[in-house]
Amino acid sequence: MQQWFTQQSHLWLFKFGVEDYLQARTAAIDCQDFLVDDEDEHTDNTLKSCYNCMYRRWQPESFHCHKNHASK
Amino acid sequence: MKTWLICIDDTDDICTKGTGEIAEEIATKLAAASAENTGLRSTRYVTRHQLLVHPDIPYTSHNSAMCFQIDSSLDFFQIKDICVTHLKQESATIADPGLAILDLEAEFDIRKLIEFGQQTKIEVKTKQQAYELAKAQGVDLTEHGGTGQGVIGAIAGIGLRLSGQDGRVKGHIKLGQKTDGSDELLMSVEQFIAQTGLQAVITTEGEILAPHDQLTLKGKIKAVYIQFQFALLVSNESGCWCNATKQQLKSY
Repeated sequence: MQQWFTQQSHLWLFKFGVEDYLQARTAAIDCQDFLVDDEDEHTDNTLKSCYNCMYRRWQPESFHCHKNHASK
Repeated sequence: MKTWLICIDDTDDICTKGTGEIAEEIATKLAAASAENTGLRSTRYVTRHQLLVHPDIPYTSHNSAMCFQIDSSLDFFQIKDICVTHLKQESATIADPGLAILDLEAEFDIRKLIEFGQQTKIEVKTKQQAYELAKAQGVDLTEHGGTGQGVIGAIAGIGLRLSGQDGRVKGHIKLGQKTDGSDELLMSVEQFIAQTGLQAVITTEGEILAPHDQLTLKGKIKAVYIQFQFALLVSNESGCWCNATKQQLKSY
Protein backbone atom coordinates (compact mmCIF):
# COMPACT_ATOMS: atom_id res chain seq x y z
CA MET A 1 0.00 0.00 0.00
CA GLN A 2 2.65 2.50 1.06
CA GLN A 3 4.48 1.87 -2.18
CA TRP A 4 1.79 3.87 -3.99
CA PHE A 5 -0.02 5.87 -1.30
CA THR A 6 0.79 8.29 1.50
CA GLN A 7 -1.50 8.42 4.52
CA GLN A 8 -3.29 11.73 4.98
CA SER A 9 -5.49 11.71 8.07
CA HIS A 10 -7.82 8.71 7.55
CA LEU A 11 -7.37 8.67 3.76
CA TRP A 12 -4.63 7.61 1.38
CA LEU A 13 -3.21 9.98 -1.26
CA PHE A 14 -1.84 8.45 -4.47
CA LYS A 15 1.85 9.39 -4.72
CA PHE A 16 2.07 9.59 -8.49
CA GLY A 17 -0.43 12.28 -9.50
CA VAL A 18 -3.08 12.11 -12.21
CA GLU A 19 -1.13 10.90 -15.22
CA ASP A 20 1.15 8.08 -14.14
CA TYR A 21 -0.87 5.32 -15.76
CA LEU A 22 1.69 2.57 -15.19
CA GLN A 23 1.75 3.14 -11.43
CA ALA A 24 -2.07 3.43 -11.28
CA ARG A 25 -2.44 0.10 -13.10
CA THR A 26 0.19 -1.64 -11.00
CA ALA A 27 -1.42 -0.40 -7.78
CA ALA A 28 -4.84 -1.63 -8.92
CA ILE A 29 -3.53 -5.10 -9.78
CA ASP A 30 -2.24 -5.33 -6.22
CA CYS A 31 -5.53 -4.12 -4.69
CA GLN A 32 -8.25 -6.52 -3.54
CA ASP A 33 -10.76 -3.67 -3.17
CA PHE A 34 -10.65 -2.38 -6.76
CA LEU A 35 -14.17 -1.70 -7.98
CA VAL A 36 -14.70 -0.37 -11.46
CA ASP A 37 -16.42 3.02 -11.65
CA ASP A 38 -19.05 4.16 -14.16
CA GLU A 39 -17.42 3.93 -17.60
CA ASP A 40 -18.04 7.62 -18.23
CA GLU A 41 -15.67 8.44 -15.39
CA HIS A 42 -12.75 6.35 -16.66
CA THR A 43 -9.57 8.18 -17.55
CA ASP A 44 -7.42 5.15 -18.36
CA ASN A 45 -7.90 2.84 -21.35
CA THR A 46 -6.77 -0.11 -19.22
CA LEU A 47 -9.78 -1.12 -17.15
CA LYS A 48 -8.04 -2.21 -13.96
CA SER A 49 -6.42 1.03 -12.95
CA CYS A 50 -6.82 3.13 -9.82
CA TYR A 51 -7.79 5.96 -12.20
CA ASN A 52 -10.94 3.98 -13.11
CA CYS A 53 -11.82 2.88 -9.58
CA MET A 54 -15.04 3.74 -7.79
CA TYR A 55 -13.12 4.50 -4.60
CA ARG A 56 -10.86 7.21 -5.98
CA ARG A 57 -11.83 10.78 -5.42
CA TRP A 58 -9.92 13.32 -7.46
CA GLN A 59 -7.86 16.01 -5.80
CA PRO A 60 -6.20 18.91 -7.63
CA GLU A 61 -2.88 17.06 -8.00
CA SER A 62 -3.80 13.42 -7.43
CA PHE A 63 -6.60 11.37 -5.82
CA HIS A 64 -7.57 10.00 -2.45
CA CYS A 65 -8.51 6.37 -2.05
CA HIS A 66 -11.75 6.25 -0.07
CA LYS A 67 -11.69 2.56 0.62
CA ASN A 68 -11.15 1.76 4.25
CA HIS A 69 -7.61 0.51 4.33
CA ALA A 70 -7.45 0.05 8.07
CA SER A 71 -6.89 -3.65 7.61
CA LYS A 72 -3.89 -3.21 5.32
CA MET B 1 -43.31 22.02 -28.84
CA LYS B 2 -40.47 23.80 -27.06
CA THR B 3 -36.79 23.11 -26.62
CA TRP B 4 -35.32 22.83 -23.14
CA LEU B 5 -31.86 22.45 -21.70
CA ILE B 6 -31.78 20.48 -18.45
CA CYS B 7 -28.79 19.92 -16.19
CA ILE B 8 -28.32 18.07 -12.90
CA ASP B 9 -25.39 17.90 -10.54
CA ASP B 10 -24.30 16.35 -7.28
CA THR B 11 -26.72 13.44 -7.17
CA ASP B 12 -24.35 10.56 -6.50
CA ASP B 13 -21.87 9.10 -4.06
CA ILE B 14 -19.37 6.28 -4.11
CA CYS B 15 -21.18 3.04 -5.02
CA THR B 16 -24.49 4.72 -5.97
CA LYS B 17 -26.06 5.30 -9.36
CA GLY B 18 -24.08 7.91 -11.31
CA THR B 19 -25.38 11.37 -12.19
CA GLY B 20 -25.09 10.55 -15.88
CA GLU B 21 -27.33 7.53 -15.55
CA ILE B 22 -29.91 9.57 -13.63
CA ALA B 23 -29.81 12.27 -16.33
CA GLU B 24 -30.31 9.66 -19.03
CA GLU B 25 -33.27 8.19 -17.15
CA ILE B 26 -34.87 11.62 -16.79
CA ALA B 27 -34.35 12.28 -20.51
CA THR B 28 -36.00 8.96 -21.32
CA LYS B 29 -38.96 9.67 -19.03
CA LEU B 30 -39.45 13.13 -20.51
CA ALA B 31 -39.24 11.78 -24.03
CA ALA B 32 -41.75 9.04 -23.23
CA ALA B 33 -44.16 11.50 -21.60
CA SER B 34 -43.85 13.86 -24.54
CA ALA B 35 -44.29 11.04 -27.04
CA GLU B 36 -47.62 10.17 -25.41
CA ASN B 37 -48.80 13.67 -26.26
CA THR B 38 -47.35 14.20 -29.68
CA GLY B 39 -46.09 10.97 -31.13
CA LEU B 40 -42.61 12.48 -31.36
CA ARG B 41 -39.52 11.39 -29.49
CA SER B 42 -36.36 13.40 -29.61
CA THR B 43 -33.96 13.25 -26.71
CA ARG B 44 -30.40 14.12 -27.52
CA TYR B 45 -27.11 13.13 -26.01
CA VAL B 46 -26.34 13.63 -22.34
CA THR B 47 -23.05 15.51 -21.97
CA ARG B 48 -20.73 15.34 -18.99
CA HIS B 49 -19.09 18.61 -17.95
CA GLN B 50 -16.11 18.52 -15.60
CA LEU B 51 -16.02 21.26 -13.00
CA LEU B 52 -13.21 22.40 -10.73
CA VAL B 53 -11.69 19.87 -8.34
CA HIS B 54 -10.75 21.85 -5.26
CA PRO B 55 -10.56 21.12 -1.51
CA ASP B 56 -13.16 23.84 -0.82
CA ILE B 57 -15.75 22.18 -3.05
CA PRO B 58 -17.66 19.43 -1.25
CA TYR B 59 -18.45 17.36 -4.33
CA THR B 60 -19.67 13.84 -3.66
CA SER B 61 -17.85 11.92 -6.35
CA HIS B 62 -16.36 13.56 -9.46
CA ASN B 63 -17.71 17.13 -9.53
CA SER B 64 -19.16 16.79 -12.98
CA ALA B 65 -22.55 18.02 -14.19
CA MET B 66 -24.76 16.20 -16.70
CA CYS B 67 -26.76 18.12 -19.28
CA PHE B 68 -29.18 17.29 -22.08
CA GLN B 69 -31.47 19.05 -24.52
CA ILE B 70 -35.00 17.94 -25.22
CA ASP B 71 -37.82 19.02 -27.50
CA SER B 72 -41.08 18.49 -25.68
CA SER B 73 -44.74 19.30 -25.84
CA LEU B 74 -44.91 19.12 -22.05
CA ASP B 75 -45.22 22.42 -20.24
CA PHE B 76 -42.59 23.66 -17.79
CA PHE B 77 -44.42 22.36 -14.71
CA GLN B 78 -44.83 18.87 -16.16
CA ILE B 79 -41.15 18.78 -17.10
CA LYS B 80 -39.99 19.97 -13.72
CA ASP B 81 -42.27 17.52 -11.91
CA ILE B 82 -40.77 14.57 -13.81
CA CYS B 83 -37.22 15.81 -13.15
CA VAL B 84 -37.74 16.44 -9.44
CA THR B 85 -39.61 13.20 -8.79
CA HIS B 86 -36.85 11.17 -10.42
CA LEU B 87 -34.05 13.14 -8.77
CA LYS B 88 -35.54 12.60 -5.32
CA GLN B 89 -36.09 8.93 -6.00
CA GLU B 90 -32.62 8.17 -7.38
CA SER B 91 -30.17 10.56 -5.74
CA ALA B 92 -27.83 9.27 -3.03
CA THR B 93 -28.96 10.13 0.49
CA ILE B 94 -25.68 11.94 1.15
CA ALA B 95 -25.88 13.96 -2.12
CA ASP B 96 -26.74 17.64 -2.56
CA PRO B 97 -28.67 17.62 -5.85
CA GLY B 98 -29.24 20.67 -8.01
CA LEU B 99 -31.48 21.02 -11.06
CA ALA B 100 -31.39 23.71 -13.74
CA ILE B 101 -33.99 24.07 -16.50
CA LEU B 102 -33.69 26.60 -19.31
CA ASP B 103 -36.27 27.39 -21.97
CA LEU B 104 -34.07 27.84 -25.03
CA GLU B 105 -36.68 29.98 -26.75
CA ALA B 106 -36.83 32.50 -23.89
CA GLU B 107 -34.65 35.60 -23.76
CA PHE B 108 -31.37 35.21 -21.89
CA ASP B 109 -27.80 36.44 -22.18
CA ILE B 110 -25.94 33.39 -23.42
CA ARG B 111 -22.59 35.07 -22.75
CA LYS B 112 -23.34 35.37 -19.02
CA LEU B 113 -24.26 31.71 -18.74
CA ILE B 114 -21.20 30.56 -20.71
CA GLU B 115 -18.94 32.82 -18.68
CA PHE B 116 -20.23 31.36 -15.41
CA GLY B 117 -19.77 27.82 -16.70
CA GLN B 118 -16.21 28.48 -17.78
CA GLN B 119 -15.35 30.20 -14.51
CA THR B 120 -16.72 27.23 -12.57
CA LYS B 121 -14.02 25.10 -14.17
CA ILE B 122 -11.26 27.26 -12.70
CA GLU B 123 -12.58 28.95 -9.54
CA VAL B 124 -14.81 28.24 -6.56
CA LYS B 125 -18.34 29.63 -6.97
CA THR B 126 -21.07 30.09 -4.37
CA LYS B 127 -24.73 29.14 -4.29
CA GLN B 128 -25.60 32.82 -4.04
CA GLN B 129 -23.77 33.54 -7.30
CA ALA B 130 -25.57 30.66 -8.96
CA TYR B 131 -29.00 31.82 -7.81
CA GLU B 132 -28.32 35.43 -8.81
CA LEU B 133 -27.34 34.35 -12.30
CA ALA B 134 -30.36 32.06 -12.57
CA LYS B 135 -32.73 34.86 -11.58
CA ALA B 136 -31.16 37.32 -14.02
CA GLN B 137 -31.19 34.88 -16.94
CA GLY B 138 -34.51 33.11 -16.39
CA VAL B 139 -33.03 29.74 -15.52
CA ASP B 140 -35.20 27.69 -13.16
CA LEU B 141 -32.65 26.62 -10.53
CA THR B 142 -33.67 24.47 -7.57
CA GLU B 143 -32.07 22.29 -4.93
CA HIS B 144 -33.42 18.91 -3.86
CA GLY B 145 -31.71 17.69 -0.73
CA GLY B 146 -28.64 18.03 1.45
CA THR B 147 -26.91 21.38 1.19
CA GLY B 148 -28.24 21.94 -2.33
CA GLN B 149 -24.69 22.74 -3.40
CA GLY B 150 -25.41 21.01 -6.71
CA VAL B 151 -27.18 24.14 -7.98
CA ILE B 152 -23.76 25.61 -8.79
CA GLY B 153 -22.80 22.75 -11.08
CA ALA B 154 -26.30 22.53 -12.54
CA ILE B 155 -26.30 26.08 -13.89
CA ALA B 156 -22.60 25.83 -14.79
CA GLY B 157 -23.40 22.77 -16.88
CA ILE B 158 -26.07 24.74 -18.74
CA GLY B 159 -23.49 27.40 -19.58
CA LEU B 160 -20.86 24.89 -20.67
CA ARG B 161 -23.30 23.06 -22.92
CA LEU B 162 -24.32 26.40 -24.45
CA SER B 163 -20.66 27.14 -25.15
CA GLY B 164 -20.65 24.31 -27.68
CA GLN B 165 -17.07 23.51 -26.67
CA ASP B 166 -17.27 21.30 -23.62
CA GLY B 167 -18.19 17.85 -22.50
CA ARG B 168 -17.91 14.17 -23.23
CA VAL B 169 -21.01 12.39 -24.43
CA LYS B 170 -22.29 9.83 -21.93
CA GLY B 171 -21.91 6.20 -22.98
CA HIS B 172 -20.04 4.78 -25.91
CA ILE B 173 -20.82 3.97 -29.53
CA LYS B 174 -21.44 0.35 -30.40
CA LEU B 175 -20.48 -0.66 -33.93
CA GLY B 176 -19.96 -4.34 -33.25
CA GLN B 177 -16.33 -4.01 -32.24
CA LYS B 178 -14.95 -5.72 -29.15
CA THR B 179 -14.75 -3.14 -26.39
CA ASP B 180 -11.52 -4.61 -25.01
CA GLY B 181 -9.69 -3.25 -28.05
CA SER B 182 -8.71 -6.67 -29.41
CA ASP B 183 -10.08 -5.94 -32.88
CA GLU B 184 -10.24 -2.97 -35.24
CA LEU B 185 -12.93 -1.53 -37.48
CA LEU B 186 -11.96 0.30 -40.65
CA MET B 187 -14.42 2.70 -42.24
CA SER B 188 -14.67 6.13 -43.82
CA VAL B 189 -15.85 9.22 -41.99
CA GLU B 190 -18.94 9.20 -44.19
CA GLN B 191 -19.77 5.61 -43.22
CA PHE B 192 -19.13 6.33 -39.54
CA ILE B 193 -21.46 9.32 -39.52
CA ALA B 194 -24.16 7.40 -41.36
CA GLN B 195 -23.99 4.52 -38.87
CA THR B 196 -23.77 6.53 -35.65
CA GLY B 197 -25.76 9.70 -36.18
CA LEU B 198 -22.85 11.79 -34.89
CA GLN B 199 -22.27 15.06 -36.73
CA ALA B 200 -18.54 15.13 -37.41
CA VAL B 201 -15.14 13.56 -36.89
CA ILE B 202 -12.72 16.09 -35.42
CA THR B 203 -9.03 15.70 -34.66
CA THR B 204 -7.41 16.56 -31.33
CA GLU B 205 -5.99 19.58 -33.20
CA GLY B 206 -9.51 20.78 -34.05
CA GLU B 207 -9.52 19.87 -37.75
CA ILE B 208 -12.75 18.44 -39.22
CA LEU B 209 -12.02 15.33 -41.28
CA ALA B 210 -13.41 14.98 -44.81
CA PRO B 211 -16.07 12.36 -45.67
CA HIS B 212 -13.57 10.16 -47.54
CA ASP B 213 -10.95 10.10 -44.75
CA GLN B 214 -10.42 6.63 -43.32
CA LEU B 215 -10.82 5.77 -39.63
CA THR B 216 -9.33 2.99 -37.53
CA LEU B 217 -11.61 2.31 -34.58
CA LYS B 218 -10.97 0.08 -31.60
CA GLY B 219 -12.00 -0.35 -27.99
CA LYS B 220 -14.67 1.92 -26.55
CA ILE B 221 -15.61 4.66 -28.98
CA LYS B 222 -16.67 7.84 -27.25
CA ALA B 223 -17.95 11.16 -28.54
CA VAL B 224 -17.39 14.71 -27.37
CA TYR B 225 -19.26 17.98 -27.84
CA ILE B 226 -16.99 20.45 -29.63
CA GLN B 227 -17.46 23.12 -32.29
CA PHE B 228 -21.22 22.84 -31.53
CA GLN B 229 -21.23 19.29 -32.85
CA PHE B 230 -21.48 15.83 -31.35
CA ALA B 231 -18.25 14.47 -32.73
CA LEU B 232 -15.86 11.59 -32.71
CA LEU B 233 -12.48 12.77 -31.49
CA VAL B 234 -9.52 11.22 -33.32
CA SER B 235 -5.76 11.48 -33.27
CA ASN B 236 -3.18 10.52 -35.86
CA GLU B 237 -1.31 7.36 -34.90
CA SER B 238 1.33 6.28 -37.43
CA GLY B 239 -0.64 7.77 -40.31
CA CYS B 240 -4.05 6.38 -39.23
CA TRP B 241 -6.92 8.36 -37.74
CA CYS B 242 -7.74 6.49 -34.51
CA ASN B 243 -10.49 7.14 -31.98
CA ALA B 244 -9.19 9.03 -28.95
CA THR B 245 -8.02 7.15 -25.89
CA LYS B 246 -9.49 7.74 -22.43
CA GLN B 247 -6.35 9.68 -21.62
CA GLN B 248 -6.93 12.01 -24.58
CA LEU B 249 -10.62 12.39 -23.76
CA LYS B 250 -9.91 13.36 -20.17
CA SER B 251 -9.66 17.09 -20.84
CA TYR B 252 -13.01 17.30 -22.66
